[in-house]
Amino acid sequence: MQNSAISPGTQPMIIRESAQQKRERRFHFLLHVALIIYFFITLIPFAWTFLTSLKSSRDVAAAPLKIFFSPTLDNYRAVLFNQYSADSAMARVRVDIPGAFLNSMIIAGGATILAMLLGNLAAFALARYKMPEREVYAFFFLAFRFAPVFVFIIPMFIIYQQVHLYNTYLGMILIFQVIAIPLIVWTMRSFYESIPAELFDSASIDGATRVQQLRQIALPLAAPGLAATAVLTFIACWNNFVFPFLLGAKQTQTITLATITFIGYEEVAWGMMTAAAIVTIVPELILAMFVQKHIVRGLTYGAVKE
Amino acid sequence: MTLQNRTTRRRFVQGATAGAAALGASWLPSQTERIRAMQDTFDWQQFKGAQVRLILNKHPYTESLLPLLPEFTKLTGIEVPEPLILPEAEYFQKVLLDLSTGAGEFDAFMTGPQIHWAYDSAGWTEPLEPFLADTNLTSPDYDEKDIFEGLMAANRWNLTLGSGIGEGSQWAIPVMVETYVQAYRKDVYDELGVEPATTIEGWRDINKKATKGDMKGIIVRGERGGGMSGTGFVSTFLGYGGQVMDEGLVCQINSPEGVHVAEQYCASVKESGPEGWANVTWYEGQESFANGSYGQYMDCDFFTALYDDPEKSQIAGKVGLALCPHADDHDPASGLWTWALAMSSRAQDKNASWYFIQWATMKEQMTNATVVGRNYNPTRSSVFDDADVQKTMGSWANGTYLPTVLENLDKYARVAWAPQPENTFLATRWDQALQEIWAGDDAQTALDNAKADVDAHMKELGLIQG
Repeated sequence: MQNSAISPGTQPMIIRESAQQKRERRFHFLLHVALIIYFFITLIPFAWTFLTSLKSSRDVAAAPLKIFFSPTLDNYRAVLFNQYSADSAMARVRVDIPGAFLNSMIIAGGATILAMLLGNLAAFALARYKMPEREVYAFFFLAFRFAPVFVFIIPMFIIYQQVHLYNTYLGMILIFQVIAIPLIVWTMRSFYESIPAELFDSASIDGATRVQQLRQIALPLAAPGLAATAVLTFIACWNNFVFPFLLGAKQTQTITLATITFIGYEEVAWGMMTAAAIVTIVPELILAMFVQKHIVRGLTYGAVKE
Repeated sequence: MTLQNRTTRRRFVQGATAGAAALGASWLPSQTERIRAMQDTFDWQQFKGAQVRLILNKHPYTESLLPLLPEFTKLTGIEVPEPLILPEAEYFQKVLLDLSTGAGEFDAFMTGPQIHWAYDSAGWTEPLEPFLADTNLTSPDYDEKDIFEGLMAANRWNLTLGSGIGEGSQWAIPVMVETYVQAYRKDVYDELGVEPATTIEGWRDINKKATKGDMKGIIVRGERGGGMSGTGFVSTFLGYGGQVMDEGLVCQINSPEGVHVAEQYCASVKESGPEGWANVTWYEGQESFANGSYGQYMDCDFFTALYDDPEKSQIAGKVGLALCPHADDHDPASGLWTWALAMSSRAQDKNASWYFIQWATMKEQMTNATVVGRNYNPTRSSVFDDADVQKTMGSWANGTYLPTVLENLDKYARVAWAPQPENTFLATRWDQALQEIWAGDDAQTALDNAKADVDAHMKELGLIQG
């Protein structure tokens, strides 16, 4: 075959290309299979949690593991409406999940709004204006993230007790600035830096004030970044356990705290706890779905600078 | 109730309405009568207008107490804002934070002997014996003697490191007690023709016999730092005459008794227990025994409430209880834990706080806690005598529950640990040694190393000399 009428070199080259294409196809096929398997593996904890939330206590503890079972909404009734059907000590647990959910919305929402206001001003200033020791200021914000929470939480507890911020919404919103503002400053700073300086210079020549430059140029152009940062900040606040645990009490109990109260002294109410966990992630899921486009765009937006 | 006929919405509403009506018909008049009767014999209103702030552990006792708080306010005129309730791990952190910083956020709280020793020596808790002795502050109906003396003693301490339990001040009043027992599958043991073992060798032998097919003979806690050495194991250790620490706070876990018990215990778990023993938590042990995977779980007595609950357990009606193994020439033993109510030394109104502790530990509330709230085990002997309690608990574990637990409470249960602040370190290091033995290390060497580490730690902290 190698000595056929086809000009030398042509046929072997076609064969090589074909083999390469096959290899590439095979590689892509295997890659996709691997990614699909990985995707399902990452889904297992969520699926497990969801299925457990639909099981009765007996099915939760069954051995061998029950894949097929009669689903029940009892756990959701208990968690959402305080309606308990089983006669057990755990059934008398009165965890106020709706109340805790509302508290989380107020605290995480309030903290995100306040931090977005303050953090964006700082990020814009650090990105656009030359000032002495600018990097020191920027590092100062980041330093809050370096310090382990327990370094400052005990003094904060004492201070909060003395200034009556303990167990208040305002106190919770303020303490969350410790994690929210550094996140916003450092994320948004790169977005603002990626906007061409000429735009601000032109606006400045036209007489725009710094606030106008921020409002009319920077914020609209950095909208994807704003959306992504706001969502990430909200999630960080929503999931936080330590601050509401140590600086709050019954009146400001958030949903992360309320969920663990299904761990009782005499048994663990896995069904109710997983139902509460599902309820807990719903707002984050909804939020993430609505702004998913912005998150993906936002996370890569600041990566390429002028 | 089967899974098929579990509550529908309509049935739930009907049931809830009927329940509320029954409560309204039976509970309210008796509540008024009870308050009147209590006021006849004692001035409950002398601290009217005060406030008592509570932090409570997530516990059946707590759940039973919450609906009664308005009755306390009606009786005394003392307000009780909604208490903060947390699971155990978070609860202890929160209490420690409040007490150690002197914040004084809470007036009364739940605790237990091993925990409040640290608070007592730091002056964070208020001695309660002056209140108990004052007839102006304690009702003649209180009947302190009705509370098991061993449990009151467990919450007394003279602040001497290493000794003095049962002496000195009364730091807390017990509201719940757990002891440790062998909970075994009676049907399996009957089929094998064996009785629960009285010695560790017999225990190992029976566990081996009960291991067949899908069933393994034994499950016990195996997670380091999760009470692994502190329940069934330490009870057996005590039953062989072991002593965790001597009065000079020198660790004794590598004594000949300690080595013998550890050797047999770990060997039995290795040959007849779970493969991933080092990760077994208390609830995994409880759930695995309840789903029929094991022949025995040596742990808390009150877990029997779940084992005999057909809604949650596949072994309801098939369980028996027995005391933990012990040496032939030694009495059985059991460690114990009591939840107890204590008062912060920073309580804003100590008399009002005592009124709450007193009321919450009286016969009526304790009986209600057990009958309605499933607070097992009660700490007053009169509660055990109550007809409803007898009816409920009397049938548990095929009738073996009450005799076994009462025998423990009357004769054998005691605090296993020496009063000193480093029991958590000691227990965790002991857990590690048991895991090493289970993994194949020599028992004597593993326990010698653990003892050396504990002693070195205690020396470093200046708790022992030399």
